[in-house]
Amino acid sequence: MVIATSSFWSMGGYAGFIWPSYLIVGLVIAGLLILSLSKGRSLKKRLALLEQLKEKKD
Amino acid sequence: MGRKQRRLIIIALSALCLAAAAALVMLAFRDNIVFFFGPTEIKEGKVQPGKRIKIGGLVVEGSVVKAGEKVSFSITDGSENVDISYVGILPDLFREGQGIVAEGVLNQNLAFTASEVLAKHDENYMPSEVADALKKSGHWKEGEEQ
Amino acid sequence: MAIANPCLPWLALLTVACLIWGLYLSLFASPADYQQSETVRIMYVHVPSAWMALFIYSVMAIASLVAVIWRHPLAEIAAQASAPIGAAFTFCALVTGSLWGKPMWGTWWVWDARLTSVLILFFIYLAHMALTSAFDDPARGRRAAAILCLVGFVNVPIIKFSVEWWNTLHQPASVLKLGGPSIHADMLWPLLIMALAFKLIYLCLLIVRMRNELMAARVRNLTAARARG
Repeated sequence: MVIATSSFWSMGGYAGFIWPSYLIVGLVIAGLLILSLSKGRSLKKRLALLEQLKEKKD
Repeated sequence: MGRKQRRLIIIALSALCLAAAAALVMLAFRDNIVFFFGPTEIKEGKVQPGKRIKIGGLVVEGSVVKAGEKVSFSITDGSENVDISYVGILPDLFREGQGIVAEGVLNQNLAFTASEVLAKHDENYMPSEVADALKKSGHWKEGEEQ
Repeated sequence: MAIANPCLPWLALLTVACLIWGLYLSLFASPADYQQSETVRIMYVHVPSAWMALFIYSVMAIASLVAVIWRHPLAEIAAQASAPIGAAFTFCALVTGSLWGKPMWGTWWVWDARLTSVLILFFIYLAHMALTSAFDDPARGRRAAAILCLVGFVNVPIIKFSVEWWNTLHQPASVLKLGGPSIHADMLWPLLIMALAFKLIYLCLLIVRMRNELMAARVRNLTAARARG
């Protein structure tokens, strides 16, 4: 396998610059996605609760 | 005239004003936002000796002399050359024929003492094998004006 | 939004597939550059991030224009939902550029026209986000943010052409320029696939975030109705 070779991970001596680049982009995008999805879930719960209360009143 | 049309016209007019203002500001700053000076501007005396400036150009082939940490080389813009001396670590892209930007002080006889050397990358990207093949076949940098 | 919701799972699947393909191309199946050697791989995340930074801002500017002239509520929400995504991509472009600049240029940062104008774009994104939430009445916040977005649009052409108008340390455009791209096909493909993947990521995030804003508006309405009795 290519992945097993250390030359892939060392990236010609630039590992310290290349891997952090990919890591930071990945973390920022994943972070934004997780944040957005979790906010959506909590809003959905809140909305369901409010609609239930409204129906009870009507 | 409807409200929508009025809003449209107001926005179009403000956009026009803004664009004009931005264009004027940029015209005024044209010379001040220059990141570096070229050898011709140095030789023409546009830069006062003793002031801290940045100069840029291509490293002249065969001009690089290294003695430990001390490096001296010339840069060119095709018509004029400037000699640069520098003590320190050079960036990985630094090589003969490569564009560089150096920060430092110009002395009275128009030689430059750099305290920092940055390599400028060009917009060409190609695999090493392709570059070697081009050099071998003599098509290297063909059609590029120098 | 009625069409967007059922599409989202398929869109997410397509995004992941495209991203895996792009990562495979950019990390395994592409050659090292003749000058930068392996650091060229940073470009495959840096350039798409920078393109997204400009693309998302342009989308926001169009949405703001529609919002201000036609008062279309969905356009306001699209602009509001886009701002954090744009800020995230701009941040990525700045950080990855810095990580490339250190080994290649010899510096993390220079105040040249390109780098400075992109930093300004990042601050405009942050200002847009702050302004949107600065008012008690969310409609007024969105209106103010829309004006800021339109004014800030002057920065977009400045960023794009900064490398041609001024002597910058940053290199000129390689892909979008007259006379065709000056980048080898083996390196252009990973770049374009990654750019497509980033566009799809934006689309997915945009749908999720717009849905959130619509739900938040309904929560506000119901809460207000309850308060009234």
